[in-house]
Amino acid sequence: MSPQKPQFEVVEDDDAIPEVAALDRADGFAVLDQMGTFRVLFFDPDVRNFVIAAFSALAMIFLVLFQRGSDLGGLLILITGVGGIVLRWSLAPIFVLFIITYFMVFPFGIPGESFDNRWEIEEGRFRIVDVVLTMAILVYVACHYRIYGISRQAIAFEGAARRRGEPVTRRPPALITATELSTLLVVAAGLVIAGQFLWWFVNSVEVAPGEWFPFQWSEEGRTIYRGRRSGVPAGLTLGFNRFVVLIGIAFVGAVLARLIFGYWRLRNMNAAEGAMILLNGNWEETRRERSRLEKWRIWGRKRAKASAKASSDATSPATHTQAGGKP
Amino acid sequence: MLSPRGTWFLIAIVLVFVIGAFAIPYFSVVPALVALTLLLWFCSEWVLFQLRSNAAVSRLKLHRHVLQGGREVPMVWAGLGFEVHLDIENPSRVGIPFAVLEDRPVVATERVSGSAQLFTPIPAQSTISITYTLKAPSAGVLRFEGLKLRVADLHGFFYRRVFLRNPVEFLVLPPLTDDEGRQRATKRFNTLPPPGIHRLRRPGSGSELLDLRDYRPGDQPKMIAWKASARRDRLITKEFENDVPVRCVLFLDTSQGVRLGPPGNTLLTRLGSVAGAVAQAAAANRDIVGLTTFDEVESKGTLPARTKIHMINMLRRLAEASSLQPGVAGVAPEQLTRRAYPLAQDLYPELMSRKVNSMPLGRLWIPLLDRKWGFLALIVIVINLILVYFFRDWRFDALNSAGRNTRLAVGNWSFFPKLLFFGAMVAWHMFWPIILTGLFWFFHSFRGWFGNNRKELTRRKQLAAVFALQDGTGADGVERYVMDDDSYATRVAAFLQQHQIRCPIPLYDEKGVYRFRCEAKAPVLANAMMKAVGHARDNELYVILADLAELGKQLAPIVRACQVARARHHHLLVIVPWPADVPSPDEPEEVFPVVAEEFADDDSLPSGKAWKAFKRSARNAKGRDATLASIARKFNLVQIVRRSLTKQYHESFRTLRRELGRVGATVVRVNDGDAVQIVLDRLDRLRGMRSRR
Repeated sequence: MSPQKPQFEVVEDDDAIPEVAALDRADGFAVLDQMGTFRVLFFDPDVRNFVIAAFSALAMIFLVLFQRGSDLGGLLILITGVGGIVLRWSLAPIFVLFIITYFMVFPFGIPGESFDNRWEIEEGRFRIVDVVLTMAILVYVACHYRIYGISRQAIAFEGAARRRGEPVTRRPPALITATELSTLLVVAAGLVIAGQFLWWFVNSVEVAPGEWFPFQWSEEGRTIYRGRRSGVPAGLTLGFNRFVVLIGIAFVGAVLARLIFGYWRLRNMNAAEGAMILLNGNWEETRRERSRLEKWRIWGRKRAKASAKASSDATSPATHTQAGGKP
Repeated sequence: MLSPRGTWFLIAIVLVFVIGAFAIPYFSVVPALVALTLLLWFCSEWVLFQLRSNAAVSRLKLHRHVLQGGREVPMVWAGLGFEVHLDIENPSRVGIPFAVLEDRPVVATERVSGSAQLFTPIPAQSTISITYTLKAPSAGVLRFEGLKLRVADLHGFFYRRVFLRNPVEFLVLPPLTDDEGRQRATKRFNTLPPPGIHRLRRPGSGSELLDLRDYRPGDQPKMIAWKASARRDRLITKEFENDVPVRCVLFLDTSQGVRLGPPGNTLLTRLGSVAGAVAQAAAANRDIVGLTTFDEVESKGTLPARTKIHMINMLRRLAEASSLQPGVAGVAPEQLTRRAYPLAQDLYPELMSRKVNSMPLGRLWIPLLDRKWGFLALIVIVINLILVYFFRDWRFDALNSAGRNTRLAVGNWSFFPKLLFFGAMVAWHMFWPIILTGLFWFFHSFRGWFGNNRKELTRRKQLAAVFALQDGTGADGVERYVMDDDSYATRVAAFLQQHQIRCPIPLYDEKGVYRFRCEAKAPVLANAMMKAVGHARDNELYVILADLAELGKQLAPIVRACQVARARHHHLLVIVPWPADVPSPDEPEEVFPVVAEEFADDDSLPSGKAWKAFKRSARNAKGRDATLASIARKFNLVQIVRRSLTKQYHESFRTLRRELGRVGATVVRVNDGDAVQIVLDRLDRLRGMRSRR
């Protein structure tokens, strides 16, 4: 039975993108070339949302910098950010951070042309522009790394260097959930507010080495301006005071996290892992004696083998003589 | 675990924060604020990842089912597809947003459909399934190790790899032959028995009439031949031939030599397939089949029988035999480590982690006194001490030189630095042999912390710890495997064989002798045959599936056993496996010209002066290598060696055929047509000899 010809010519829909259909949205091992990346970034609806969010965040950064007079910085960030997403540069967010830092000190991009403000820390609390800028940067960084995971690599290689033949693992676009972007935006907003509060806290607490509790709230206007150096107890400078507070927070946080997750990990350890820890400890403590014993054992074995060989060599001619000597 | 991307990002934001918070806070607080917010974000991602890792990843459970023919089976048939179904259960209340699941590939199987990998989130209190279809082309053992699971956060800052171990083995029985598939459609009893062989006719309960005889009281009435009785006027009874089933005993060679080759495509696998097909076809003809496997050490036999259980047991035995792997004696421990270490890392990531399986730096220190010449260092030290203690001049000279050097070099320094310098000078002039020896000692031993030595020893220790843990030998076992090459090689070989990993094995020893001739199997096979002859009742067919081609003079016991079998009127069929890369001896001669003839009048071969020059240059290793390389390029040495080996193998096969043919055994190659059909023909011939009048 021969296939029948269609009565009407099938007209391809111009809006449909056949290549998109060709890509397996659930396959994370396929390596994308640049064209494939473009198709995924701009024609896959789930990925496109992230791309739009990242580009919007970059536009917002550009606007804020432009408003501050750093049009060159904004342009550089726009180019680096867009290039990083489209051309899949993993270091693009780091460059963006450094560019922002530079243009915050030198708004016109010319080294030496900077303006300091002794009340900057106090005035910088909960400033709307800074909040917007921070939010935009956080959204851009998060979107960039999610897009990078989808277009190039989501899971790191197993060793320090890539093994031969080890495949690159992407996150397939099919795994993007409907609420992912909105969750990201809400979390980012919360983190920005938390960051503002933390910065305020760091600058509102000062070290009090002589007190029963080594930290105390600073008086209004004492620690926030640059000129005062002698007001902090123990004669600490303001920068050093901030440093100590931050180190204290980081230390307490790290110890708590280590305690909680370390203990949890020990609880989850399987029997073989626990036995391996004991075995390893036992071996490390006694390895010198055991090594000596093993050397002697190997020596003894070799010697026994050599003597056995020598005795067999000595007896074999006699056997021949006996066998051949019979009449 | 922090990924490189996470590490670099963390370094960058900490740097920006330090700059923003301590260097430029009065220019702008934005860098500090941004970096602090990013740090918070990074920490929150880490906490989330740890939470998922501890609460969910550590509690995942794996269940595996293998289905063939729509139902779960404990073993599968070769050549037929079977479905592998995996259930990954997450009993915790925490979900995993992104995971990559990969079922570890099984050796010697082909994927028919589906994928063993899955990219998926694993929601809380749910089960994820993976289903795919495999096919095992040949008999053997399938080993499923478990599932590799990689988990990462959505930004790629953290990742964790675990292996959900669930080792399970399935026998792959030889390809299933249906009852009708192997039966002949032609007439069976049309063959004449060979001259000199007489039929064995006994009265029995068969269907062929054997004879008529007078009625004896007790004969069954239905056996009375009424027409003959009427004709002769007395009762005559019919006697029928006895239907004696034909017995066939298969002797399967499982020696080291036939185990060589890629998994699933060894000579042993091919022989096992033939044996399986013969056994099933003979059973379909209601013949009785037995199986004896033998190697260089022992033989294991199963007496011929006809039940279904016997057949299943025999197929299991064939499957187990087909999965045997060659020993790795003679393989360097470093090579074994190279195979075993990545495998252990894949299968036991938590036991190979440096947190629980570490290597202290002190163990990497190379002891000087272990060297044969290490005592020289001690002698130097002792001599130096003797000089200092007993010879006053040595001490005075040292003090004198130290004072002179101090005056000349640091005469204008203050008192204490000058005193220190003087002390150092005294130590140097008095103990310079000890200092130099100590430096030499240090640099000799220090090398152990770097390079290949460190890598090799660390890997070996980690593997040794895993083996000691599995064997339950404790810290003694660790040190034994680290120190003793033989024990280590044996254990690694067992580890690799258990996980069905092959490693390159040297085929020739240091003298250039083929290591897998396995001449010890000849007496073992001969004994097994004699035992089978002792158990035999009627004429039987002995099918020897063995690689006997290279045995040469060691064939004598087998020839004697064949003579005994033939004297008892048993039939012998020897099926020799033929290596895939060796051409058939039946191919035209010009395709494989004899090497000697080809190069007999070749002027370009090194001769005369050229040969002397070659010998001169071959005295040192570098010259020898260079000369051999140039000769190899010029004459295509690989081709020459291959042709020579082919010729040698053909000659050995002809010798085998001649030797065994002389005593009445038929020798065929396994790829000479259909080996199974040849065996069935012989069985038919045996059957015909008995039942045909």
